Amino acid sequence: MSRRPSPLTRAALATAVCVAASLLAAGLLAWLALAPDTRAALLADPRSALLLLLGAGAAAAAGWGAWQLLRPHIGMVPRLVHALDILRESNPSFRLTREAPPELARAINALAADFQYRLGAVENRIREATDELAGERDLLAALLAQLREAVLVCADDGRILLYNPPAQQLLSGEHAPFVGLGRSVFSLFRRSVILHCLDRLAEHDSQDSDAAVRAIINTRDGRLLRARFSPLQQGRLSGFFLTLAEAEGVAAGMAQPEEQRAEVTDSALRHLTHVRTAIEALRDYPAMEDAQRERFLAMIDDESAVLGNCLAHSRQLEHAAQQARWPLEEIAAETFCAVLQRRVAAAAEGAVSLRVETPDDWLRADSYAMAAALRFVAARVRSELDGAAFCLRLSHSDDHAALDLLWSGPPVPPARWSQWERQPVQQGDGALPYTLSEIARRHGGECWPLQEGVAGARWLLPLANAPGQRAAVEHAAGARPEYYDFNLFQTAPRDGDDRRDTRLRELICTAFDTETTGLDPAAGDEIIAIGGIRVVNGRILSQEVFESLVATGRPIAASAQAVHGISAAMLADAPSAEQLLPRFARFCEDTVLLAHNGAFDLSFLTRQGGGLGIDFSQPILDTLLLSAVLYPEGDAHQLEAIAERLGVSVIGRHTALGDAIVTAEIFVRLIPLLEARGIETLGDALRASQETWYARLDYG
Amino acid sequence: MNDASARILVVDDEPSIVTSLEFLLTQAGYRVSTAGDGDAGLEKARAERPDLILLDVMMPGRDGFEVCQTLRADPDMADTRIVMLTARSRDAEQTKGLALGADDYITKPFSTRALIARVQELLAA
Repeated sequence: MSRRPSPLTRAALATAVCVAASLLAAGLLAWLALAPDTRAALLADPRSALLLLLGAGAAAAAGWGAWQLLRPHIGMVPRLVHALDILRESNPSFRLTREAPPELARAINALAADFQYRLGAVENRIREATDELAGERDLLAALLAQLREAVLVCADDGRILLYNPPAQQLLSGEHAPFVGLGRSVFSLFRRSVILHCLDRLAEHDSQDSDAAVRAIINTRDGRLLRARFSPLQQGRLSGFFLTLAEAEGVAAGMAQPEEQRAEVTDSALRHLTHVRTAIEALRDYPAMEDAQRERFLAMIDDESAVLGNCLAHSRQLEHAAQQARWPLEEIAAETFCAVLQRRVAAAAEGAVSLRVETPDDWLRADSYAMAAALRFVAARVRSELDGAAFCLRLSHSDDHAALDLLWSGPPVPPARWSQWERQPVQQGDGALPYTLSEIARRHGGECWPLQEGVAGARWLLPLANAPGQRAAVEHAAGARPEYYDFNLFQTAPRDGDDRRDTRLRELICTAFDTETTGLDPAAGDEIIAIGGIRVVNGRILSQEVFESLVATGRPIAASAQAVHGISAAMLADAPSAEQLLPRFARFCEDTVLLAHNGAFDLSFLTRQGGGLGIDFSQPILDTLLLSAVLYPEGDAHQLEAIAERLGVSVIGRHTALGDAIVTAEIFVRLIPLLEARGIETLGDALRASQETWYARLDYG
Repeated sequence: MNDASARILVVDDEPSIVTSLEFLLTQAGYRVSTAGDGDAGLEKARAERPDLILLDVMMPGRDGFEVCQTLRADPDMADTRIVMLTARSRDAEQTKGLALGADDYITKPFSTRALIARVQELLAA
């Protein structure tokens, strides 16, 4: 307790002393002013004692009165200070009532109201800006997802800062390295090729915004891809932009389409030469022997047959090239007809009825061109034949879909149809330079006016198979994938001991969990499931996951199966540990491992991995230990308990991936709590973890 | 009617094929007339009423499809067999040709032996 009395006490004392002192002084002066005999008379008079008492009473009253006047003003200062502190730090809606005189209180309350308003306005503004930013991020993510080209953005040192789903799909594969934020592009492609391309890029004038280097590059699992490198210099960002595409026809040994066509033409010319040679021989030597003549004739026969084949082949190649130039989309029959119905109705200026006899079909068609073709015919039928009441009908005809445009009115005379066929289909604004017959042929089909008095026209269109499932990129359920992190530009990766200085919120970690046959690795229990998810810069990347069952020869303990529900039968198709552990090691290479009660999982990984020559020596953070660092007295250190405490929802509990995700979420929420305790870097966390007593448990 | 005296009309704008077919069909015993384009083909068809018409598809002016359609629209031509000849070999074109009333559809390059065999078949039926 402070030895210094409070201001209030000091003030009280001071007031008392003042009053007493002034009274004494007044009394003394009065006494001195009196004549000696008046003094003696006063002293002798018994009433003077009473007067003295009254005087003392009056003095006390005066002192009390003065004190009451002063006290509010003295105590006011610390009260005001306290009130203003509350206002500023915890409660902007606090208002003064009795802590100060009314005018002062009013003035201060007015200031407080203004302060609260501005604080609110600032918060709103921040919230708006954050929402705007989040909205733009969502838009960027959506745009990235729509790009059909595979795109990567890398920092100068090769770390991937942005990628999109096509890139992930293009580069994925059983033995392919993983694509992920913070991973190195050199793990995906041969280093020498990338460096060479970057060198070439550097040679371009730095002002040349069109600078780009194209190359065919090899992936680490032996595929060839077309790549285009371009420089990226934007503010603080410095790196390169890489687009990738399948290298069609550039598989080993296979020539490009243009080369193939050239080869076929050359071959055709060769065979033609043989034919002409034989013919010349026959003409120049009419008297040759029959046998010889036969041989030449046979040659003409054979060579010209081969010539025919060459040309058929050439036509196939041309058709394939045309497919690329004028692609057809796969479209469901119902959707296709609905689109056409609307477009034709506009041209026919009346309703168009629809009969779809084969609603489950899928077609390959250019709906825009077909709509234009149908509109053309409908408009002509209306104006030249007075046809009306149009109907669209879709049915089957052998291997094609048959689309009929029917109307009431006269059928189209053949000559008229020929005329129509040869005109470009749309005039004026947005003219399609194609004729009816060209459009029909592009669809590998034909069009013609129907016969036997039926007023209508038919188009044959190719059928397609219903689209199969596109290989789904694995996703943690319900989360929005994160495809870029530009903060990675600013954080340089650290190796070895330097890594211990990395801040926890800047770490790249792999949260993982395993399910096992039992609890005793020393006795031979093995891993039967692994789940992992990547955490970069405090963000959980829901699209960078690893999940797999692992086959094992070891029987699964009933107690273990009761927990995770994995039976031996479920492992029948699973890869073995020899196949899977190397992949998992690649998934979590160069990251910090993150697990709940990680000593347990790690013991299995090192035991089984060691047998395969895989090194799981990355630093490992244990959410169990970190939780104990923060709440040493708490005894609820189960994953669910910690999750609940931190507000993490637990779904998919007791699947390896589900637990890994919960571990990741817990870690992310622990980071600010650890930082508040002064545990900011990896090194700090590792040290603190070691010191908690749980670390004394050893799982051998 | 005697098969051997059947009349065949060849409609094609390429002289080489017309020459070859005329020669071969005459050798096989048919009476052959020719036309070099769609309009001439229609005229001759109406005038001579052949038993079978070999009709090329790709011709300038009226193409084979139009000629076929026009002929079939004429009830008097109902008994005439029509065989279309073309270099295009896609199924859709064959379907179209047959839908427009052709009896058969042969793609070039064809073996003339096979063509004549087909002609014989159709005329015998």
